[in-house]
Amino acid sequence: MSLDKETELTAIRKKLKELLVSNLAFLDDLNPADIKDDEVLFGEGLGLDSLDAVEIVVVLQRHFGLQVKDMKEGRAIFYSIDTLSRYIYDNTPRI
Amino acid sequence: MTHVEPLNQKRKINVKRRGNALGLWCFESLLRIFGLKGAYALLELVCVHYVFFDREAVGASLDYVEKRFADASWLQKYWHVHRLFVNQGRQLIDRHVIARKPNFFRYQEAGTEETLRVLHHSKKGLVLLTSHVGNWQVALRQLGGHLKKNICIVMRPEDNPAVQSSLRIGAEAQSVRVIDPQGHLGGVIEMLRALQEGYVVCMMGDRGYRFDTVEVPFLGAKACFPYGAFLIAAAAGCPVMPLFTHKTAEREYVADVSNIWYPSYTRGESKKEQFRKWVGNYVCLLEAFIEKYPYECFLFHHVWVEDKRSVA
Repeated sequence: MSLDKETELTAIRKKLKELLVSNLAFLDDLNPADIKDDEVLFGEGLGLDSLDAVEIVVVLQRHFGLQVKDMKEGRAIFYSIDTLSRYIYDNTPRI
Repeated sequence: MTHVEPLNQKRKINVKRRGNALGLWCFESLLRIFGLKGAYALLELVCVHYVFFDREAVGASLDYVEKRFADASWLQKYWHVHRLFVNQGRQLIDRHVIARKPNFFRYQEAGTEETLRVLHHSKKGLVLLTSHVGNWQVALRQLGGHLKKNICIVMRPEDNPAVQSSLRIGAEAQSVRVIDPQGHLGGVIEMLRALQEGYVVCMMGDRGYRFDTVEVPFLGAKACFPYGAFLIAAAAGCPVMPLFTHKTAEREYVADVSNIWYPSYTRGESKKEQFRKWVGNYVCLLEAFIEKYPYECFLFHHVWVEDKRSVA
């Protein structure tokens, strides 16, 4: 993995954590840095639920211009901060 | 007649199916020979049977009856339960009729011209917030046509085949999509997408699905109602329109869709409080409807039970 890619992924993860904490009603007491990259987002782990998924979809649309259309794809993408970040990285056009 | 598990328990809904082929045949025969009055007469007797022998159904409805008719005696409460069963049965019979004769009932919309005009010209979707009151299925068919929008219903596919059947018959121009709330992430991503595509997404405001709830006062006690509809509408930038349908005469229904809200977060204000406010507005309307039409409320699940994850 190139250094550039890893640097970019780190930045995406950081931004994602901040956005999740500021947008999800039940995470507002959490410090973004306390969220682990590989922590399971839904159910056990961070404990997010289906309504939090709505907020994540909106975050992806508004801040990254991405739309998750395939439900099967969504299951893998929404697994953790890491999988979300990789999805964003892979689907964001670069100059 | 169905009974569902408590609103705020995050587990699969158990539906006990009542009635059998012979019973349905009897109702259909009476409908053919004597019309609605004949079927309604048999229903009175059948509901007496349920009051005496179906403890589960009676128990489920007593929660509501005890709140709505707090001063009623033991005997009066059972009378109220019977009237509730009869009214729910009548609505099932009406839906059966509509499935075969879509224009059998007269249908009116109360105070809704402006609302419908605005929505008709909007490309955005709409959350149609239904409740376990009245016969919302009757209104849904007509409303979708008036709005010239496709309809999407949030329900378990096998939950109520009559609804889907009723909506499809005579409505070739409409396509009715079903979103399963037991699907991945409760189907919320599909709901959001449907709204963004301009669908009317019809969901129950008083059923938890698997959504979190907020506590609001309802019929004199604290109750838990889900805020998912408002959260999804806010995320999609779509309005929420509560629907209350009331049967005014044997062959007439009136749908009230005169309220419309545009949930949008206010910066600096807690989201939790905003959910509570939005849900509270809806519950106020629900309560007002129930005050006027107590026997048209079929809220047979325990909304008054404490929920550990509800917003304190």
